[in-house]
Amino acid sequence: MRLKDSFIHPILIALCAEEGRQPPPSLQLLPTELKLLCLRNLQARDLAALGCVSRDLRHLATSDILWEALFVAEFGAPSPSDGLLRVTGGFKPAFAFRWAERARHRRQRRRVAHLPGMFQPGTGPHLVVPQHHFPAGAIGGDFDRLPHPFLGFSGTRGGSGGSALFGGAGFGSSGSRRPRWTGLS
Amino acid sequence: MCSVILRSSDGADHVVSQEAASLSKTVQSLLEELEAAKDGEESILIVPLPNVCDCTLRKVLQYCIQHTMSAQQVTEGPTPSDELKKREMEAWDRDYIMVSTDELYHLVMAAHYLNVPGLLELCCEGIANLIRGKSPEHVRQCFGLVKDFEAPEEESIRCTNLWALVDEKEQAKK
Repeated sequence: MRLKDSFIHPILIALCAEEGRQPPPSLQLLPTELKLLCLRNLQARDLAALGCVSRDLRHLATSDILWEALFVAEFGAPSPSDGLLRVTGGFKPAFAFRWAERARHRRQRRRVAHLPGMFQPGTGPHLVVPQHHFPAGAIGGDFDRLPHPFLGFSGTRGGSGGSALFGGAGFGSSGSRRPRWTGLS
Repeated sequence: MCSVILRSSDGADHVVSQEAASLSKTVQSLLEELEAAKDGEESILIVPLPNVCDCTLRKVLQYCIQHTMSAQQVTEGPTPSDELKKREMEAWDRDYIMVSTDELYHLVMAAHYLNVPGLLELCCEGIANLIRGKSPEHVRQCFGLVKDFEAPEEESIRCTNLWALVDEKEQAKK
């Protein structure tokens, strides 16, 4: 059976195409609603790959009915307020957008995990920063979002004006920051 | 239990129990019509199915009989092995759907025409399994499709789907 599928069937199709005859009954001859029913069982990645096969399949594999279900399963129901669907113009682009966003987040997290101790506050003695070094209003801002101020520090060394990133108030200028860090370690 | 005869497009008769035949909604409604029309005559009902060929009908009936049997076993009384039976049935389904592509095509058409929801679902899952994990090129080969995109169109399609294709490459590396 596998031999028939993987070997004889493609040859038969190729032969029919060469002789200009109708190919043997195969899945592309199924009515649209049955095709949709089949594609409903597929995951996003397979559906996206299927969209690259032919025009006919692309039309099917980008249908919002399929992608809406996938979107809801993967990211939950979209809120009408965020306008994601309006901006991207459909469930498939919206899915792709969210997917890329999540992949980026994961990559970032992995990068942090690859440097053990470096970016995790309080894991090494050289990274213990007294609380009063942070500006009072920093909680909930970039201090919470970024893994560690060390990131920002390396950025300021390039002189790109990154000191604004942390509000600057508790840190002073970037020039005075360096000795303070080295003193801590 | 009452038996009925299902006649395929090539004229072959299949005798099955009414219960098994009733898994197909189409046959069920045809039977009801015939029953109403027969006026108490004691004869076996014959249901002509001109859209289904003999070998496909045989395969469909195999499914119907197996599923009626397992349903009967379940209704006889809940046993601790219910879960086991369910798993057995799933395994049977998996084996059942291991057919070649064109057989699957005929089967899905028959399941659609005969309106057997479970079988239709099973077939669709089978077809999805054929597509799953294949690259666009591979899918084209398997189903005899031609690439009907222009070169720039193909490039733009590839770009919009890059998120899925790139991820695949990453997974392959792992």
